[in-house]
Amino acid sequence: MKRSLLYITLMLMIYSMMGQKGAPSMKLVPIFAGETLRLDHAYAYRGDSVVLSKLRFYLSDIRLLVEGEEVWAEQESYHLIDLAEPNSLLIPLQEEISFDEVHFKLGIDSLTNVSGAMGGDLDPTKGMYWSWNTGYINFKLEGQSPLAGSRNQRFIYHLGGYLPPYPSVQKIQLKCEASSQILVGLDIEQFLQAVDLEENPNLMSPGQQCAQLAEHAASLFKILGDE
Amino acid sequence: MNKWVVSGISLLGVLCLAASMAKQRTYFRLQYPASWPEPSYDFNHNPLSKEGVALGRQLFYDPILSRDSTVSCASCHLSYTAFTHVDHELSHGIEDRIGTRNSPALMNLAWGKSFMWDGAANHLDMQALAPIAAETEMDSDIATVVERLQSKPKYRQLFFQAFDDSTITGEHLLKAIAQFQLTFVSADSKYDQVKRGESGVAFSEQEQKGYRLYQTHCASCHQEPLFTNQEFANNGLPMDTFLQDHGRMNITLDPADDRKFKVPTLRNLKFSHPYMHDGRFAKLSQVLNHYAKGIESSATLAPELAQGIALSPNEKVDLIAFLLTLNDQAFVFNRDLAYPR
Repeated sequence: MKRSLLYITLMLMIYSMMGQKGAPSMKLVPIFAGETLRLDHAYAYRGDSVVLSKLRFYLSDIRLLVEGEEVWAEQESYHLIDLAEPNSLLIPLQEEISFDEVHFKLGIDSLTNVSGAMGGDLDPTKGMYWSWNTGYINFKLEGQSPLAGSRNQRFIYHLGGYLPPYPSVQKIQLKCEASSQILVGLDIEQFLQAVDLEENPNLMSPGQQCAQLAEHAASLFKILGDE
Repeated sequence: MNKWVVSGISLLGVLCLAASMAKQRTYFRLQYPASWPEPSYDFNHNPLSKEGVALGRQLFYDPILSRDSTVSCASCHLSYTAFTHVDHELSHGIEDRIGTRNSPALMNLAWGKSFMWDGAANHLDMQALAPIAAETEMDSDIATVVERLQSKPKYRQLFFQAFDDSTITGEHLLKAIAQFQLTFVSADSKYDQVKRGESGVAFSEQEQKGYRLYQTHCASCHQEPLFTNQEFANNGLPMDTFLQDHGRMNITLDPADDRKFKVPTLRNLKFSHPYMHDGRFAKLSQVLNHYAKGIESSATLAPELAQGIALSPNEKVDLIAFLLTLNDQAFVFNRDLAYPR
């Protein structure tokens, strides 16, 4: 009995690995100063330095298109992307499909925000949920810089909120060469350029500023090419 | 062997194994009067089971949820006082830290549309996150609570019975606490018995007069049968200059919501004093005096209260007599809701 169980488990593992080989995927590549962003690494920035300690965000509702027609939509499409967890940067897509456009959302839609406790990447233990004003945190960037006008020179940007008039979830539509594997860049240096580290090093509540910054973050997703 | 056949057999094996291990849960039927509206809570997302409710009850009464294991949900929500912190204007958490609000009485939560005085929690499942994390309440966080529970064999067993999974998750923790709270149905007051036409139960003349006064002056916000319309309103309380609590506006950022708070139910008032979001009134007579001559006018004042509610001394006595018919002894002394022994 024990041996057959082991055999079944092994076969399942092998089969699932076979299935993944060469499968279409979307890989996220956070960028700083023209290179792949590394956490806890000092970058030169505006005549001083900056160290990023945390980058986490939700991607949801992934859809693939060919010549403007939707050919695939992921079910239960919620992904917590965490730079500290390299596995999370690679999102497997549908098998045997080529596409020339990808749509997704940065953040979590309002319906999911009001539908109670969820599991997996949406589990509130993931630290991407506000308890004092319930709702998902769609995007987190934290770090340290002498430019930040705060105690310990830390800066914290948590973007979220789903209530009108300041919903922060963003639709992103990217066209690419017909391909099944794409690299999507996200330039974090450009994100920092949109905030005032000196005067406003902390943002942790929904509102107009948050929604504007979320819109800016969404504009930074770019196709880098296919893998 | 063909890989499809192998994977098919493997899948079948795993499914059989799972089926044999999964213990059948016992469906828990929520009892409430047939004349009541449908609950707002989506039970398809979190079906009540006897095991889930029992787990939620353990958690509700377990101080393991707080950072120093001194405070449980029940510390501020005691079943014998309609699940509120009686006699405390503002409730306190660990290390005697005083909060900024009077803990609300908990009942008939399945009909709630948002939770807490300012509606900060958009869903009953998520409400528990707030007191777990608040510095003046439990000062912990859900990931820590899950880790602690995971180290207790008792809880691994209880979670397995309730959710077929001994690996504890935030989702299951929140759903279990919600399941227990959903069973807080208060529907057996004298008022309810009169409405059901139970034999030998009738309003006294005074209670009947009070009922009419309630219908005239109170019912637009405190709607039957739940005695709240689940909305937010500014009832003209002068601002507490120390607390500076702007209520619903803190959540929506909309100036039109300034000084608005959740309309509380009028059920079980005997057990749930003091009254208002900051517990400023210890007695019902003080509440009625506020509505008679204490209302402060402001841009967001509930229009129904623009002229105040003028009541004669006799009318006040009558109205209070009616309000006391909403007390539900069977609810507050329900052993199924009390500390699990």
